[in-house]
Amino acid sequence: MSLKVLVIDDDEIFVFLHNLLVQENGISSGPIGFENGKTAFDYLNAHDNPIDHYLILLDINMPEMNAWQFLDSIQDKPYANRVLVVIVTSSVDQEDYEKAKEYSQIIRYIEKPLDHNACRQIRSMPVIEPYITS
Amino acid sequence: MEAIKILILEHDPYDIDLLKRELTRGELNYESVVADNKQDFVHELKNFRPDIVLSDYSLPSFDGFTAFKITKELAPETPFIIVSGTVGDMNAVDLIKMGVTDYALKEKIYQAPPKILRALKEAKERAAKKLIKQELIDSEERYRDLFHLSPIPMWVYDPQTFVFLKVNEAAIRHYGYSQEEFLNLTIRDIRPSEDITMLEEDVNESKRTKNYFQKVYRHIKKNQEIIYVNIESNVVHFDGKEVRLVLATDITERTKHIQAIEEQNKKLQEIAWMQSHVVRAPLARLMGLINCIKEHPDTNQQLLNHVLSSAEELDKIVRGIVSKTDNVKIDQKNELESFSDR
Repeated sequence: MSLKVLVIDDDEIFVFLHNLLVQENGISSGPIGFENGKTAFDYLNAHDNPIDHYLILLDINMPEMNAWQFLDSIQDKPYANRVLVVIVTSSVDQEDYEKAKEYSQIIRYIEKPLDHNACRQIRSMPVIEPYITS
Repeated sequence: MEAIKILILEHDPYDIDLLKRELTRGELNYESVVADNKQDFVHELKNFRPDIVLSDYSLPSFDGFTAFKITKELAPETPFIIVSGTVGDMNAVDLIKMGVTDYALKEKIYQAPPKILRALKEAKERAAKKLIKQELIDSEERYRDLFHLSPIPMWVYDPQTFVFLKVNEAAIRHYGYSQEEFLNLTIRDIRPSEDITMLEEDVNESKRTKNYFQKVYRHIKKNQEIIYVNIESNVVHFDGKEVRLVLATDITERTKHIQAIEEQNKKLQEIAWMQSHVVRAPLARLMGLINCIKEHPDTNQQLLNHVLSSAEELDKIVRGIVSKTDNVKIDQKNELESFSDR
């Protein structure tokens, strides 16, 4: 069982920072960054392997395909139940928070900035811990 | 029962005595005063205020018919009975025709008490009828005033022909049409042409249901200004027809105020949305970058450049919000100015 980490954010600085944090906290040694939901969706469709499980750090507001459109799109895909999502957003909008509750894949909702503390908490969640090798 | 007040016009003391005795025998509860000339008669008519006058037909210095005319003038409701010595004095029928209440002959003076009672009874009935009629007139006047003097425009229209049948003063003032102009218009003529189909449907519907009706419409004044009006109407009967009485409250200002507030609300919501999404983005990025730099003191120039560009972006956004907020203020000011023009 391997856990692939995808970082989806239209802000390249966040992609950089989130990649760094994911690595430094031992969640994954090789997270993959995407600039919006669409490029990540295309990647999953092209490269999904039935043995892979995914942890996706997902921003909400993005051009092309935002978080909700992305989540709606993956629901009928074979990997839908192998995806765990952590929303990482700069929004402090209560509406977004309520909407996040509608998706079973979402395991956590974090307001930016993501930090070491948040990463450690994600790492020790019962649904994540089994994948952590070190 | 109170004593009947009788004014007797008679000069002959014998006849007076005879009359009074007859009244007493007739078991009339009465009090009386006697006059035998014009001056005294007028005085007693005004001061004694008799319930009934019994008058001789001819007196040395005065006459019954003149006394009748004076009574008619000063106390028109008071019954007036001629008590005359002879049939030949004047034709009784002519006297009654001229308005004298009744006529009694001195030789049949026993007829006086029942004639008095009958005259009083009839006078009382006449007074009661008159009172009812007056009350009816008063109440009609009150309702007419309620319609005409109402500060809110009102009218009556015929749902068959749509014609205005009646308009009040407030409607004339508010819409700018004179009464004559109004009565030559139909209720279609005060609407924008695109609203007429809706109006006709509503009128037909209200003809069917005959209920209280309420809806907001657009109306056009004579000066072509379009106003928003809250219409309330009910079925009333007017000249035997089933028509509608309409109350038209101008809510244009209220509607404009609400529109202005909604517009402003939208702008404030945009600002709030910017606060939660746009401002938070570079701010969160700054915080993330600073966390990273803290962890990596040997940080490279690139990360610091990102810090600077995030700070600049934040600055731009804050300035944008300030000018947007200024716009809200300006719009508010414009709204107020446009209201004060009206």
